[in-house]
Amino acid sequence: MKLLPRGHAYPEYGVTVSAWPSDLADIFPAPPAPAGHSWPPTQITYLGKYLQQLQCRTIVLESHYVDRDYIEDMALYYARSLRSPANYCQRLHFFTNAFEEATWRQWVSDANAGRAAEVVRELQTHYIGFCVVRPLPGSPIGRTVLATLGPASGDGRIRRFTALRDYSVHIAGMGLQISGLAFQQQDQGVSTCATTALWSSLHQVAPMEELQVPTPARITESASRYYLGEIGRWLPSGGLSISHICEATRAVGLAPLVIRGVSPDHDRAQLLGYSLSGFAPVLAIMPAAGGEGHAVCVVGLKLGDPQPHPIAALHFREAATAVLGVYVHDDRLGPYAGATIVSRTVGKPPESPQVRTGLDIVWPDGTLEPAEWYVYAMVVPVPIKLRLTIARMRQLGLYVADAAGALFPQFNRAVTLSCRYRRATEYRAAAYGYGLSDAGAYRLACEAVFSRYLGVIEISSPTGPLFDVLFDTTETDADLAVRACVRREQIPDGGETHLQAIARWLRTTAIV
Amino acid sequence: MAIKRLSDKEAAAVNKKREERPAPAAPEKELEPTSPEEEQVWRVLEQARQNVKQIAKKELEGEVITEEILNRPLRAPK
Repeated sequence: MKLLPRGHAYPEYGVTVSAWPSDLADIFPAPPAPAGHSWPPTQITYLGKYLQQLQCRTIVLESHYVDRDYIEDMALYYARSLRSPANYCQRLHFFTNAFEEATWRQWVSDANAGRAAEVVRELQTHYIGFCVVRPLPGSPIGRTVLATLGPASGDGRIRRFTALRDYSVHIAGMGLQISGLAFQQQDQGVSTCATTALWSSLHQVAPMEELQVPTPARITESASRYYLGEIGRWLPSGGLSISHICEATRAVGLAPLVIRGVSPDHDRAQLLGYSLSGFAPVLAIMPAAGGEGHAVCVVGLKLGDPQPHPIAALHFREAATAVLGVYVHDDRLGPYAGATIVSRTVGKPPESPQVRTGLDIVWPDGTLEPAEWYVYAMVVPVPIKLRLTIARMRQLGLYVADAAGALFPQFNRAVTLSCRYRRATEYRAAAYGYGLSDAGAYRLACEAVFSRYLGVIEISSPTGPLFDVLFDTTETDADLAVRACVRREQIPDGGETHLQAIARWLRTTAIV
Repeated sequence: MAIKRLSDKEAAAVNKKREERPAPAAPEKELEPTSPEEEQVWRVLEQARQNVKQIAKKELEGEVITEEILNRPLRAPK
């Protein structure tokens, strides 16, 4: 008798190049399951369609890749499974140019001959992202970062991806970059929809505060540490509630801002404000017909033109009326799924019906997802010192915008109100392009005291920004938090006098 | 730190001292416009504040969070 040599061998590593297949699912091995088991998962089909839209031509496979997120899932959960999967993954890289294995080998030789920078440049030009493939038979799509589609959506609208960051990638010793936001499929062992939506959101926000992004395993663990509520056992995860999302956000060192879904107008303004600020709101959505809730992460906005205010007596437009839809990471589908915002009547008798923000989620081929969702609430993980909400800034912004519309009649009620946060350092740097006087520029750059995150009400005209009202966001009352009114590029002649008067009314200084 | 218990006489002295303290400074006088142009802008701002009063109130509706909202499970199937 001789024991089997368990644990002696190292896994093999290899890089393989292949042309884009007619169906991405063909390269994923189907799990051994009885007939009737659904294969391939929707996420693989979605990914295939999305990569086709990005015009992927070549896939490079790394056969061994240690993924931080997966290995923690493994340690927390899968290590105790009878069919314990490997603790490593595979990784797919996607390129828009067609090349073969021989070309790849030549590039490695070129790099070895001192031309690594040229090779990296060539690879970078065509690189559109990666997908970690987990050894989990039913849910293979792990951390996936892909490029976004361009800004023109084809129907005259603008795609604006607001929650993107740069990821560094290394393959064969060559460093590449991809701008996107991490997505992954829920596995229902360690993570469910809310876990992965929050994980994506934290991928964007945590680095802004130099915090480490938690893995799905850590999110599930910290979310259910003190309170299980209606979800039952925590592993396998039975889902999260908004309370759990708040707890997991707090554990990272951020503050969870919970906003109830109210109406399309209200929710659009919140989505615009937090998204333009670079945050990634987690939307809790419910089926209008009733049933289990779902969570998605907002990564961008679909924008049209701001519309005239429906109240004829008002003199301004809301920038939020330009928000026609959102792009979401929906772990049942894939990254950057388009969702159109519609008005949806919710509530069956005896409840009184309410008009809420409906979301129609669209597939890359234009097919509409059958479920009719509406926004129930949103959770925005924000830095803990950020206390002044968009809603509170808007309360003041509404009348400043209306007054500006009346004071500048030449814009014919097209003065627009927008509200968001900006880093004070970034604002100061950008302000050198605002056309300020030398005294004004000096005051803003060297004399004004600002919080790390500035609240900014931006009043603009169709030709560009007129002026900004700046807030200290460490306060909670907008009336007491105004720090300055700042002249912008398109303020008309004589407008500075109005701005001085507005600043005095707001008990602050005008920087012109 | 132990809390000192005052006798009636001491307490009366403290109270008297408090009463004699100068009154707090008068609240800041309302700002007045410094020119007719400024007065005009302020009038527009006050009118605008009245115009948006009703819609401004609705802004904070989203901040009213209930236990039901916080505890609703989110677990759509994969």
